[in-house]
Amino acid sequence: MTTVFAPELEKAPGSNGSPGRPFHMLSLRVARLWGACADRAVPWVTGVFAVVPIAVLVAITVVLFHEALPAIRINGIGFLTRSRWDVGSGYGIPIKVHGVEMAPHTSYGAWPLILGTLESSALALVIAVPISVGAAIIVVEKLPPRLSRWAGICLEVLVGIPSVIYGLWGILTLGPFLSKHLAGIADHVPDVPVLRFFRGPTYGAEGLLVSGVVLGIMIIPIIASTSRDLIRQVPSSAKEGARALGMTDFEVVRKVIWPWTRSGIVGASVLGLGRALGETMAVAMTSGAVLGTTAHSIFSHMNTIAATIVSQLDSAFADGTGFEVKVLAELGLVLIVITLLCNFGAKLLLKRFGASAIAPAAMGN
Amino acid sequence: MNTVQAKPVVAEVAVPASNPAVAGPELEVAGTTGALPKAMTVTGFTGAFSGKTIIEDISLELAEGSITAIVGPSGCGKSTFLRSLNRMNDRIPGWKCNGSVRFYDQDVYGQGVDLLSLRRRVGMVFQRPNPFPMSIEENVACGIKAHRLVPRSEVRRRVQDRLEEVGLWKAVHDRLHDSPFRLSGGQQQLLCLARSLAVSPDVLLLDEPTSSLDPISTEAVEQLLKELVPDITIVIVTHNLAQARRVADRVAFFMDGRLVETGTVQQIFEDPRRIETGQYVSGRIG
Amino acid sequence: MTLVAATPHEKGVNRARTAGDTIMWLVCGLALAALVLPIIWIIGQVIARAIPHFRWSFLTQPTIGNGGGLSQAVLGTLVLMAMVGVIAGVTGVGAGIYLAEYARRRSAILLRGATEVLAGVPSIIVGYVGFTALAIGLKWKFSIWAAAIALTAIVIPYIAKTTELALRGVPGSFREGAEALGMRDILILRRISLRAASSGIITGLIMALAISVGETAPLLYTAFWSVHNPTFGLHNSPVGYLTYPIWTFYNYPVKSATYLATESAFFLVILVGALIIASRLVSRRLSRYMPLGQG
Repeated sequence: MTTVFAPELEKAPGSNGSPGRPFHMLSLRVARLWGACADRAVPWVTGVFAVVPIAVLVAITVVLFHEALPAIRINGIGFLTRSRWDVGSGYGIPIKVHGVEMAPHTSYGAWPLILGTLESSALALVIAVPISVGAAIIVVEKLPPRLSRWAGICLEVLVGIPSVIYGLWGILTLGPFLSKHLAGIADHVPDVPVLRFFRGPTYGAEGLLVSGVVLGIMIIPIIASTSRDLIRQVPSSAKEGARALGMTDFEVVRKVIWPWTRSGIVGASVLGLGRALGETMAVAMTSGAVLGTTAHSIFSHMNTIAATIVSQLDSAFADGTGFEVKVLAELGLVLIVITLLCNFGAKLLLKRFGASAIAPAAMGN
Repeated sequence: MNTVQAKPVVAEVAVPASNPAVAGPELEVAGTTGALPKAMTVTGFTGAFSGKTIIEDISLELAEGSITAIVGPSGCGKSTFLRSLNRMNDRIPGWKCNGSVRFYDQDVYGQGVDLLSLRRRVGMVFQRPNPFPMSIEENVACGIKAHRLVPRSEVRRRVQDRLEEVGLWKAVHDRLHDSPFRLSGGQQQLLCLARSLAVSPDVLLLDEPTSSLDPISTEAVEQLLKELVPDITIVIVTHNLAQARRVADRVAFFMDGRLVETGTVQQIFEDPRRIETGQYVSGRIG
Repeated sequence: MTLVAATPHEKGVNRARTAGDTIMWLVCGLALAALVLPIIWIIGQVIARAIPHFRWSFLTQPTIGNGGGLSQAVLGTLVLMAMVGVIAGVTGVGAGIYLAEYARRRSAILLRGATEVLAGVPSIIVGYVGFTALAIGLKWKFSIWAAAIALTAIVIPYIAKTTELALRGVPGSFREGAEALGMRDILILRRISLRAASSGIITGLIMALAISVGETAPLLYTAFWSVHNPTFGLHNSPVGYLTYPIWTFYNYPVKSATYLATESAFFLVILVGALIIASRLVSRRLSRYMPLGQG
């Protein structure tokens, strides 16, 4: 039994008529009781909500593993390195391997998809990082508050535009635009190693380049907003110190802002990479969606894991044995592992920055 | 009078303390300020943030090689005044000023003034130590490198010279590549001083440089300031009257954005002409 | 000769340094342009493709085969948005409150970690799991509930994170002041913390809705597609929504089908734009009592 420090309760009613005193003693008691209950209840209720993400995560993992297990058993580790993707003969008599039913002559290899995922995301980073960091610098250091607010709205719009609309733009507008204007250049790139990757027919509107550019635009808001917040955190005292020394803006950026924010910006980029790896619809619409081959030039058609899952899932139904659905679950597992590794890395980088080796004292006070 | 050529621009060679007037004791400096060349001359200077006047009609002369302390109650515009001497307020939105600030014979706010060179020659040290996020050595070196003051091969030596000058070398010579944020507050401030000195300024503006330091570090900084004159002209804003008394040659008393009185240390503290000054130095206001 | 750039050497050096400055700002300006330009380009082409074929009947008629209007899809999207707003809103804000106010060190690390991991799970994975677990496993086939749950799983981390950050951003002095008045925890949370954080929380919530409106991958195999108005049946009641026609019809060889795709894109852009504007207005109104520079 806890004692409530409430002197007005012990006093006889009407002993003094101070205006701050509650009118009705009973209502006060009820209110206190109610408040005390609510005080206890709220942490519990909100705690239950806070467990939901874990529950969802566990459910996703369990379902995915359960579905993928037969496929993992049959495809083995070679799944990651094989290239052929053959759903087999749907009309043939299903065969049984290790107790798992599947169509005859099937072969599933994820290598081109893994490579395609990595290639398109890498391309996206190459495009997004310079744009994001450059824009973040000018927004924080140069633009008046009103304009930088508009830049913030731009980032929100980039987040808000649905990925199918990015895809639509990529396939109907950007793709034709790029293939028209780059075709001339692409033919004249010398046929030597490395550069060869940028040579060749542009194949119309779809392919690695279009997917990469679209992905790049899609991850700009993640990288740019994080970079902007990091640059804002750079203490103005350090920047002023540099200016008082007679440094130019460029030198302030290079000597103060960059060292202060670089690991955070790398973290933000990896976070953006994680998003690009898992992006589905825009890539499914712009990649050209080939299965079983790796891109031999930046204009080649390609495919990624996420795009394959979304575009193959309905045809996977047609597989009466249900084996392809399980293969897609295995693909999903591969994707989840890649993205989670990526996000984990980003977290480490951003955390190291937050707790920072570089400026604990200056950030603290 | 062209004092420009007299001053070596790249002060590789230390400026000789050749001026006989400065070599003497404080009183002599105070008595003969009229004869000394003026490092900075402020006339009728008024400054406002978004229409709100912060400092009004300030006129002040800073004799070459002297230490001037600016004192006054908080919010009286001391820092704003100090920051307008090397145009640090320029970037603050809404800042407007008029009147003239001259650095030797040059109008600081004039057309075509090279802000970079101005700030190299009129340096500033802030209230809180603000080292850059780079190694200790880099902190001192980056100004030298930015202004290309000496060939790359000599940067290292110059860094050492400056660290020795501020008395930090012994403490940091074996960890020059460490983060400056691992140093104590006092050491960080000395590092910032070394960083400012490394670009060979003619004038050094200090904005309450010791207010976040412990007494021992404070003494180290004050000692250093005394050693820096007469090579460098120093202006120090301080709320610590005892400090003003210890280090300064001349004192300027600010109140409500105006320069109330200026004079030698002795005169301000012992024989102030204005009532407010007397009240302030005896602790009755501010 | 200006005194403050005394020697020719210094003058030359400074000229070179200032040039570097100019180049940097030029590059940064180009980067900003490269950020803004695609937005104008994308939205511009959506509008340009939609306007010439726009008829009001797109809003009043349901889809018929691969032609007709989009009324059931607009309705489906709005209903889904409302359901996500309620389910994910309550759960996400609750989780955010717990993380910011009550979680102890160790449990906070675990819960926050799970939230962040869930945020990183690609939406197609959520779609796949929603399909295999809800549609097949629980034999719901396709239903609006499966779709709402899949979308909730996607936006919960976002809502929880923004709520937590908004609550953490409330100055400790507010809390202390309220504690010093003798207010109890629940009252401080409701009257002080949540109110001060409301701008951030609502903005996050609305942005989460904008994200959920634009999702496709998790809906394809949970809501599927329907030409009828949404029903709330748990079993075998597929729903139409606006992203589906874009993905399915954009390359159909039939004109009426491509119109469905472009008009859907148009409606989506308007809806997302309205949500963003709403979030701005709401946040401005809610943060009017906050000290300058916050909220």
